[in-house]
Amino acid sequence: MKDSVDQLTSLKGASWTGTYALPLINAALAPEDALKFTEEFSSIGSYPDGQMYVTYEKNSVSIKGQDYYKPTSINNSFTYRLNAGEQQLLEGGSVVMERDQIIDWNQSGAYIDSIQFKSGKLRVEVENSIQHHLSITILILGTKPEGLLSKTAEIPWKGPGTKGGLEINLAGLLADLTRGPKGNNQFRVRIRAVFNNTNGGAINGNDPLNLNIIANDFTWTRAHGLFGAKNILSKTDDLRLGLLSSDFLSRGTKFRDARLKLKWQNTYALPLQLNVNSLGFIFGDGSRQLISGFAPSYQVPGANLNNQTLLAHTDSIYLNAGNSNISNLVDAQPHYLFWNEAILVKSGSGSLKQSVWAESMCTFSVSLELPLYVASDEIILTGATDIKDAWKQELSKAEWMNLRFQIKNQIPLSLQLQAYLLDAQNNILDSLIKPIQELFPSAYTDSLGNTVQDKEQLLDVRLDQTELNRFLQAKSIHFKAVTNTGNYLGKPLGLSKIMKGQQLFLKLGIQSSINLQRKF
Amino acid sequence: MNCRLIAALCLWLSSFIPVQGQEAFGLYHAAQVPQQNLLNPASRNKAGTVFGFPGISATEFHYFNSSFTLRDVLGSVENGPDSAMLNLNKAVSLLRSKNLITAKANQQWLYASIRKGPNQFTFHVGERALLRLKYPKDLFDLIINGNGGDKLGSTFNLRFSLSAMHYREFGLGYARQINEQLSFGTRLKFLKGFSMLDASRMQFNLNTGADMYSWTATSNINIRAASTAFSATQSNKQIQAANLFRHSSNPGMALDIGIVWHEHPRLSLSASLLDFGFINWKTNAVRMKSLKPNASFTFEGLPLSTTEDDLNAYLLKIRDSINLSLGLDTINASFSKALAAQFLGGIQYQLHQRFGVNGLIYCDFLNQAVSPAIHAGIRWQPVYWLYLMAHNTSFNKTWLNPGVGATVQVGKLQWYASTEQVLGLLMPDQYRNFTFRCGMNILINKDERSLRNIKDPEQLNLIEGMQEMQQWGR
Repeated sequence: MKDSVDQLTSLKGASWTGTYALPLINAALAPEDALKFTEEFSSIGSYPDGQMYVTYEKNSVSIKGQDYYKPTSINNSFTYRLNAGEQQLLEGGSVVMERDQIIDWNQSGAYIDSIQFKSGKLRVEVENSIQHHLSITILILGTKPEGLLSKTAEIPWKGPGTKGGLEINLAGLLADLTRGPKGNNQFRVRIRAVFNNTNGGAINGNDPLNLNIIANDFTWTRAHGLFGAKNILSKTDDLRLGLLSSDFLSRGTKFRDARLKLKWQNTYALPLQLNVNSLGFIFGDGSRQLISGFAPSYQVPGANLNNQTLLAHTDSIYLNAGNSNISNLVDAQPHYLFWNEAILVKSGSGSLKQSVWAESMCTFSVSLELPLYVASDEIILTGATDIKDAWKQELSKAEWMNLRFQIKNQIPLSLQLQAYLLDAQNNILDSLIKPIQELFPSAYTDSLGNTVQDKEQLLDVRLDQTELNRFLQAKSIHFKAVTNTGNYLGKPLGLSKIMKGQQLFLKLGIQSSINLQRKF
Repeated sequence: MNCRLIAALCLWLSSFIPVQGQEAFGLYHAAQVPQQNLLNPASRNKAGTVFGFPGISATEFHYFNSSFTLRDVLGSVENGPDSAMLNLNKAVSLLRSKNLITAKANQQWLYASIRKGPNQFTFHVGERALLRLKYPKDLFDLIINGNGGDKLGSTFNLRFSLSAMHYREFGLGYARQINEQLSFGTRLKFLKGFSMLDASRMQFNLNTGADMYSWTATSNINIRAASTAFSATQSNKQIQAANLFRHSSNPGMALDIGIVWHEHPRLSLSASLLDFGFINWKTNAVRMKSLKPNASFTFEGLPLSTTEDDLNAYLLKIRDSINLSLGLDTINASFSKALAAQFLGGIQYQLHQRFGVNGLIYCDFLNQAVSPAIHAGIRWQPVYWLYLMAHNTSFNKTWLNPGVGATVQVGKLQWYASTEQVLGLLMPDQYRNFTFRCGMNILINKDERSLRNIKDPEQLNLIEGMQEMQQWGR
């Protein structure tokens, strides 16, 4: 018993060797999943036949309607006096003095027939020197809704220049600006002043009633009238084409049948004119080439008003190998796409009244579509990373390790990967995958790069003690990946057409024999 | 004489049949020990009135491990240049495919027995705790040897069975000698349960796919538990150790019955059924059951996620799937649990006035499993104050468990001790089981003067027999 106790107390820990198997990765990768890893593209899509494409796109936005038409504040003063008949009536007890007043709307170069307010107030400041109690009502004529038309204020007589006032809320008010003699940019206000002779004050035809009508800090939602000509967008822009200007793709990779789309959308109910100037590519050497096949100017109809909703007018032009030199230019691997656009509001005539909404705008976009119909020989990707001590510490416990890849590839792209272990002097100590082979073989294709059959493969990459020891001796690991396109009659085709729905099904399992130790 | 010898030899050899189960077998035929009555309510104490020494009238502990001894484990130690390390691969190889650990502890706080004529009344208060755990080798095989290599494609069968219970019993017993040949006895026990865990079904299977190492898990779990150790008023259910022995609201009842038949002045047969009862568990009672018994969940690997959010979303999805397939439904509800009922059947033959042989078969019934044991022994009383026993018990699939026992009486004090595995006590590192029990009694009402002067046990037994006959009127 004593021996057992002694042996038990002398124990310092436990050790064991186990062979553990772990399913690490189970993934179905679509091309769009892989492309999500980069922020290079604006969108990933597919054509009706299923062929996928990636898009470089940039948008320009015109000024909005609220900035295009900016009426300024109103501040008009008026003076009224009692005429003889009104004085006589006042002597009898009370009189109603009613006046219609035309208020000029600040036109900002436009001729507005109507305007609907989103917010704002019309303030009337009253200064009464007619020596009687005043009840004043302000009515804005020709407005909807009617309930917002008027407001009344009682101003008891307190002496010459008695002050008072009232405010009318303009929010939601649709004002008719054709009630004045000009037929636009004016609205009519009716002032109804009721004087009551209750205090026995003097009645004098020279005593004035002064009004100051003010409207400011208002916003609007819609305006209708003639707005005149104005440039709402003028811009020179460019777009970097990272994929085409990358080093590894420049070695013989071509995206076939590139297309360019110019698209615009108009929510102004105004006809516009779109001018596109200097659309072209900038190449690596700084040279420029213009794109052909489009007109420098396009007439853009205004948006249609349908049941109180503006229906945007959308249009585009599509440049491809059939109507432009775009495909040839993209084959030459430009680094930038550049353009200059201008959008002009066309001047309306006297009979062509137009509408502008505060949120109206016009957008113009330039997008370069690169169909994933790729012709390439070999694309070589390389990378390196230092081997961290923590990795070595974990790997030092392993006796052997087996990486098992199960592949089912529907995508006509292959990947061959090798990892080289380098010492501090960058001498190659060993390579991990022996013999070098395709980790992800391409799907079988026809001679045009169309996938005709999935490719399935089960691959074991076994690292024995020798490889693992070299890993522990290594300073860095250097990766070299070679991708190829297509698989026609068992050989890379150099051409592949990637379709929507194609996936790479990848499973990776790891099995390793590990020596473990735990100290008590 | 030859027949007697052959009978004794048969009894002895029969105890080497590998069976399961355990109890204080040595006491069953120890007529001098009043606590014999706890194993057969029909047995009667030799003294007229007996009081167990409060607190230590009977103490019993039992431990059994079906698979390895400490020495076996230490055989897996490898001495390195600077330290000794336990090789767990070797240690795991010691396990059997199914392994059993049992432990039992009984502590009697009070004991009293009064015999008047043919009638005998007993009272006792005792604490009982037992643990029985069955565990699979596959669990340690999985952890230590791993699921790879030659284990790919095979299923680890992780089936556990755990039964643990702690309760207090208050027993009132009555025995009557019906006639010269027949005695009958019964005991009604009122129980207070403190803690129990009954995991009669706790199965978890894990298969690793041979192709891509996918993991497929199935489970079927049914667990019931209750304990006074948790504070019922506290929402966070903190353990309160003091409550392990008090505040029980888990009542129960159990019945013991027994019979002794003297077929012949030298031959007696006896049988008893013990702990036929149940406890109704209410305090913090909970039942956990598989939502979908035997449903499976397969993990084939993680997706290649572009963002941490995507990965977290996938992990949440996996967690939900696991909960759906392998999750447990927890119900807070009281339940009843039967005690492990025990049957004992004994035979004893008096070969000589000083010397006798006895045999015993035993079964207990827990969770629909029967655990038998066979016991055979000899007893010898060289002088009136000393009683010696030697026996072998086969239980829990162990054949050779030699045990000894002794009773010493000094005046009114009696001390007794016995074990079913004496070697396990002496060399616990080399044996997989050991049991030990001891106790002290105060014996009253015996005609000490007459007995003290009689040195010959044969004469002593004769006088004791005559006294008994007088007491019940013959």
